[in-house]
Amino acid sequence: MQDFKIILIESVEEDKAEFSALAKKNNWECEVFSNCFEAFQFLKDNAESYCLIFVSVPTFPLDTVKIQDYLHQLGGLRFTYVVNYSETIHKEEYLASTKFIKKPFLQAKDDIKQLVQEIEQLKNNESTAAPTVNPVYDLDYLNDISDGDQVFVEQSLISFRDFVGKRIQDLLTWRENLNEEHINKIKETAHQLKPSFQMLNNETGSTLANELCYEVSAENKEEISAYVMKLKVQYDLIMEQIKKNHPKL
Amino acid sequence: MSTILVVEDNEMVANAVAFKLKREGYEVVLALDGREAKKELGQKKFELIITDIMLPYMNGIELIEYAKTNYPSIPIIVLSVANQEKMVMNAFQLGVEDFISKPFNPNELILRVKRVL
Repeated sequence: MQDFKIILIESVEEDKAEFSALAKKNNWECEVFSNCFEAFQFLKDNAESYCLIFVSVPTFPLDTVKIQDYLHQLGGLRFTYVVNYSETIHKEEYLASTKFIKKPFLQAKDDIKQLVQEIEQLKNNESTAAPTVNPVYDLDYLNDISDGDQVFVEQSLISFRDFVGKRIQDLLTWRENLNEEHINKIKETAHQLKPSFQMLNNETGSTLANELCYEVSAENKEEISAYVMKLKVQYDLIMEQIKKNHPKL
Repeated sequence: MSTILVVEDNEMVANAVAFKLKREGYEVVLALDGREAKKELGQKKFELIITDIMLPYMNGIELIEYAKTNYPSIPIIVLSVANQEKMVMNAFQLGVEDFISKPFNPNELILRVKRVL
């Protein structure tokens, strides 16, 4: 496998050894780190586009949500899975990942093998697909409005980066202290952001913004918090692709 | 050519509306909130207002009320998103001429603008 690595962030020595043995047996390229900072440094120094990342919880000093944040800032396509002996982990940690893997690793080997296959498939599909294919956003609407005016299209992407990025940061700040005022601001901002995701034909972001504004109960702080994170992840995914497709922006 | 005041707090939407209208030859003034819009109305003559409903400082309904009281001859088109049906109804009760849903269809925008001017 080239340009695809499995990263394990695990502090328990026995589990590290077990995973390493499993990786060796299946011929997976694997890096094992005791904490998230070692993993960040590795990812900064190595340009793997595709990473399957297992984060064993509880993590210290950053929680899974923050780890996910950092991973997205580093770029590349990262698929993060939370790992623990028990499924009763904090809901936010679960929502920050896309799937949960239950330890011990040997018992979860089929699930892990399936994940590896899925990502290899995705990677292969991308390498054979036309370069214009983009799963996270498209420019159809912006081209339609402007009759293909590339200056307008690029200005709109810059506007998405800055305008939406600033408001995503605001959402994260308010999320730290979910009082009534901040919840109202979060809902207003979600409403404000919805058309930006729609203009890039990103249905996930648009749906999340809509649900955050109109469907998530103002009483349910945990859910509001999780929605903010999911919206941020969506923004990061779009920006990752925009940077890839428009490196000069 | 007519001058249109576009009141929209989403920069991407505002720029897109402005781009399309300018391409059609209209002069466009952008306001990012109700307060700014009120100020622009006092400084310049407009033939049309296109406004969002949920705006910071002074919401769209308050702005419509203000414009219909002080500038009754200026037609108003409301920009709305899903789940705002009740507010759109309120806007129509205040006398707005038309509404467009976001994200707007560029041809529909021009068609509706031409219809009210």
